[in-house]
Amino acid sequence: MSDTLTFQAMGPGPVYRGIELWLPLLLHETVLAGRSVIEGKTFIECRIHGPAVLIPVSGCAFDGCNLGDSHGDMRNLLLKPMGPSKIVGGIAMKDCRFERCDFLAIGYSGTPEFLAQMETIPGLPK
Amino acid sequence: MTEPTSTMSADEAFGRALVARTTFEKEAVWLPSLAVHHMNAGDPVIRGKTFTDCVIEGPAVIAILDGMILDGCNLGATGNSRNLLLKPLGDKIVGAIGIADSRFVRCRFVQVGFTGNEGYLEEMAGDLIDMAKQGEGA
Repeated sequence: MSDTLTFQAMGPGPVYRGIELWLPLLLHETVLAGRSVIEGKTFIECRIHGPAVLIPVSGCAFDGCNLGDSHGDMRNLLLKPMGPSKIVGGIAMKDCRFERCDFLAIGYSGTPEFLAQMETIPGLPK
Repeated sequence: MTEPTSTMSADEAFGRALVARTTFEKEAVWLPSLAVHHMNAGDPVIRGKTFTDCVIEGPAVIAILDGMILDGCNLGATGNSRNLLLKPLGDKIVGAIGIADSRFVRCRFVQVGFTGNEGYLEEMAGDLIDMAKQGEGA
């Protein structure tokens, strides 16, 4: 192994285009700016890295994205909250748009409606 | 390979040294960073560590694998301890940080959720809830 992932500070955006983006670091920058939710961002042709569990709170759109290596079954990317209210450990995103992005080591969680919708997306072949 | 070498960049050498460590004591550990350094070193799972009196910071979801032990930990404030748990809907788990053969002793978790194999997740829930209650009472 000689390749090492390195990530620059990403800044406030709100448009990120063609970059390698580490989602935990973007949240860290967001928290430093006094917010707890990544909101109102547009990501175009970015590679979005985890490990992280993304929680689309509301108003998020995925257009032409590769949501990750599902091993042929989108359920492999999904985690269902066992609690009745909030989800701990995930990264909440609101009113964000993803265009032609690749997601790596990203899982997804959220409302039952969101998870049911995600399950209908055909997974990439094994 | 996890040992630093003279041909590595400073960042890479730091990462490899971090991966090689087996004990963490009285320090803050940013779990996403620790996980990425392990991935860079070719190991997708964090294993063989002991964390004592540490603050384990997320955002992160830990996939509890074989041999991961929580001993006297505070798992974080939440109204319902089941909020700490996520159930995988498929056979695989993506996006979580796998931890095996590691021990957390009197650690405090911040913004960290937990998942695991469906078979024992409910069983684990009981233990986590008990620990969370202890943490809330501490």
